[in-house]
Amino acid sequence: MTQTLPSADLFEHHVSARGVEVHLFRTRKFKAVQLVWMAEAPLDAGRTARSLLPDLLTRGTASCPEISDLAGRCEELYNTDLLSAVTACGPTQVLRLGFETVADRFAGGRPLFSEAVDLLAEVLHAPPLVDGRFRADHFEQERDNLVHAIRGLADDKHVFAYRRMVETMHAGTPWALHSWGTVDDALALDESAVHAAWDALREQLPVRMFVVGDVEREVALAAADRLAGAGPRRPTPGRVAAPELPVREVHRVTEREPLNQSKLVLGFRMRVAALPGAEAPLFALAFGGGSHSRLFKRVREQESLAYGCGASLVLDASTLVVQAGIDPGKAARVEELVLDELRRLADDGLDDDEFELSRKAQLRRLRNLRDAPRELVQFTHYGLMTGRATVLDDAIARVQAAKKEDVSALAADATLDTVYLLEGDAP
Amino acid sequence: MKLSVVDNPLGEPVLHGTAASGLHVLINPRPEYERTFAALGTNFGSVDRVSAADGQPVPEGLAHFLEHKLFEDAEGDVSDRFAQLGASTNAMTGFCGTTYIVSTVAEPLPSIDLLLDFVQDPWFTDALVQKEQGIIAQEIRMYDDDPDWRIFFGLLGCLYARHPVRDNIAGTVESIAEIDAATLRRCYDLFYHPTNLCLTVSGPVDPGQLAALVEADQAARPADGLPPHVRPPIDEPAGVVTPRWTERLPVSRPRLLLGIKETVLGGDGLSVARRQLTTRVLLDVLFGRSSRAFQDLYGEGLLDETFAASYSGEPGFGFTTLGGDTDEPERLEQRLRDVFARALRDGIDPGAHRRIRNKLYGMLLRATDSPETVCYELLSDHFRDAPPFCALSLVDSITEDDLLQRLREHVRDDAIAVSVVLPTES
Repeated sequence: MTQTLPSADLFEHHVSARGVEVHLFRTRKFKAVQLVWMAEAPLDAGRTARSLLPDLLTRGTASCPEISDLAGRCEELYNTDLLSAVTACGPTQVLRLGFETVADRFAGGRPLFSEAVDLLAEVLHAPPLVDGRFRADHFEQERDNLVHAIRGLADDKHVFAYRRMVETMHAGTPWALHSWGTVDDALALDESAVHAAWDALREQLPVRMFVVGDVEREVALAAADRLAGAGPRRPTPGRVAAPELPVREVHRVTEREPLNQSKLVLGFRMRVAALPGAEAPLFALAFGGGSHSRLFKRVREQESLAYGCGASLVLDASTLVVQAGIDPGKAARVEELVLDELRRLADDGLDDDEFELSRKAQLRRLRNLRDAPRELVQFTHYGLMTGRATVLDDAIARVQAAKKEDVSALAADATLDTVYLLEGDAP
Repeated sequence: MKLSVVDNPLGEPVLHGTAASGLHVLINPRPEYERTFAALGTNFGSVDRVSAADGQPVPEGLAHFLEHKLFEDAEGDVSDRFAQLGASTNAMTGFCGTTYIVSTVAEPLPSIDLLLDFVQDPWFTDALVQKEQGIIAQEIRMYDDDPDWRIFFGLLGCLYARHPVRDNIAGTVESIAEIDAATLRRCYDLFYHPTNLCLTVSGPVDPGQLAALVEADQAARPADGLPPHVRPPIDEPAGVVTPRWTERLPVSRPRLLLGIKETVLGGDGLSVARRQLTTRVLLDVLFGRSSRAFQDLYGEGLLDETFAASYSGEPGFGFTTLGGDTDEPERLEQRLRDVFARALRDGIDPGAHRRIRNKLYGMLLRATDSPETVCYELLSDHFRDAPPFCALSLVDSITEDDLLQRLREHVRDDAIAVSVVLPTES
């Protein structure tokens, strides 16, 4: 089944014979070609078993059973990068496999894309099983690595502080969960649970496949069916809805670690109705999204309180996040400044200059995507999952049509919900 | 300015010109792209702590401080003017260079003009220097909490006794407190002059118009006639200072970094590039994911995906680093040393060596899809006086014997040290 599309869309959209959504951007602009295979599942109790799969499957295949065999095969394929990652979008877990390789025309006519598809198909469908089970040594070691990786999330203190704020703000909902699962769940994983997750991944889970590069439509569709397994795949679910967060008193959490710098994270609730258009990203940019923003000017430049103080919007969680690395003892002042700037935005609005700078910054971000295949795939995938614009020209047109007053008005929608402080108490 | 085509083994379109002032320009036209990326670099980084021109000391962290301060002039924050043009800007300081960048999807020439202006028209006041000290102090504290940063500089402190590569690029809270406007001006004049600068641009630009813009910019500035900065040799012993550094930090798992200090120094650009490439190929053959050692150590659970091996080489210093997260740092250290010892005894796997060319070709080719990567590569090659993308032509000439010789001259017991971060005791 093939849809007819408006010409402005960089991607062709198809559904393969085995039910895989295929999004193809055919272009000779890049020397590389990338294929990204994204399967979706609920972010539920089974997420930890599923999150083991990308690393377990890229550990080896039936014909390249050891990690060095597989790496050697990739090197021989002009250093083909095997991609593997697990992320989340709202209450949905996204398992990502794929590859980036050199376009066939730079490989002396060798069908490199097809060879890479064959390799990825083997990764997905033909691991080095023993008696129908994952090799015990591979399984146990990758489980240990997953445990280490989850524990290691606490090593980057900016990320850790952000995670703790999210866990506090969204406690009891899927939005609080990390896509990799928990240490306890990872320690308790057994082969049968992961095997069942693999069966679902290779045969059933709904999949969106993205290809960017010099690849013909028939070749891309054949690749989708080669990767799909017996199929047919379940259709991709409807869009991920952002949560309407309950109004409540501000939650405050302070934890201490032997750090030189404290990390302050403020979580603000946003009204869901305010999020779909181009205005919300523009608001986040004007408030704290770069050197022209209110927070950069006030917190860093005027008061020298932080090397960085920025705001970002998590649309699929209806959350505005402000983060700053600060001296211990300065948290109250930084919070005061952040709230003051938000209040001033709500009361007085943006001036013309701030609005135009934010608009130019957002237009630059969007136009940059045409030259950045990985980011373009992320943008399109996120748009498909959340119901936001997926056609770049549409997104650009919306930004151009946005009105200053509508952007400023979002300041009144942002309500402080959670204040998380990771207080540094290094001697 | 006359532009000439620069041949290179990737066949990437590259043009080179030199303004009458001595400023070098390298252009990578790519009309099919929307975005233009430009990098203006100076051959002045954190290791430049004595001026070759006047013998005066340069305070620790000054190159990085200058990078911060150039973004502010009498009209305010330069970033705002880039934003008005629809462009974004940034800068970074390394051991041997400072680079100012701009990225835009709008008409590129006004942004490149502004890039040339703000880097070449400094404005320093003591009040603004004082304000910046607070911001940079926060940046230093941020890096002090970064275990990767700490283990890296812990290792360099083991390897180097006197060479400034051992010092934090941003300096210390104490060292930056001593910097004032007069010091910034003095150092700026020594290191930010046309023959010490290079502009690289990749994107949908008209090379002729860009050349004319640069020439007009340079013609409007007074000629200073200063020669390019030449890094003086540092009196540094061949051996390490101390074989081990250990620190406890709030991390979930121990991590190990083994370092090897380079003792073969000097040479022209091409020989430094060849030394760097030979060492990287050697490390790839011995410790890359396709190596026997990686498979064994991964299989034993001594290393994981965080493991990396790399080499950084300059005429005046160089070092190998290898390591990652591990539950058993001492055992991993011994096994890494064993891999070197076995290679010295048994030689190098010739099959692994043959795979490297395909790998390097694929890696370099894909990297050229990124305008920023191209600009950074061109800048780095220019300051090293090496031809663009020369790794691809050099790799064919590297033999198994070259790898063995590199192994023998580089991997010496007295040049090895380790840096370890352990979790804080709870």
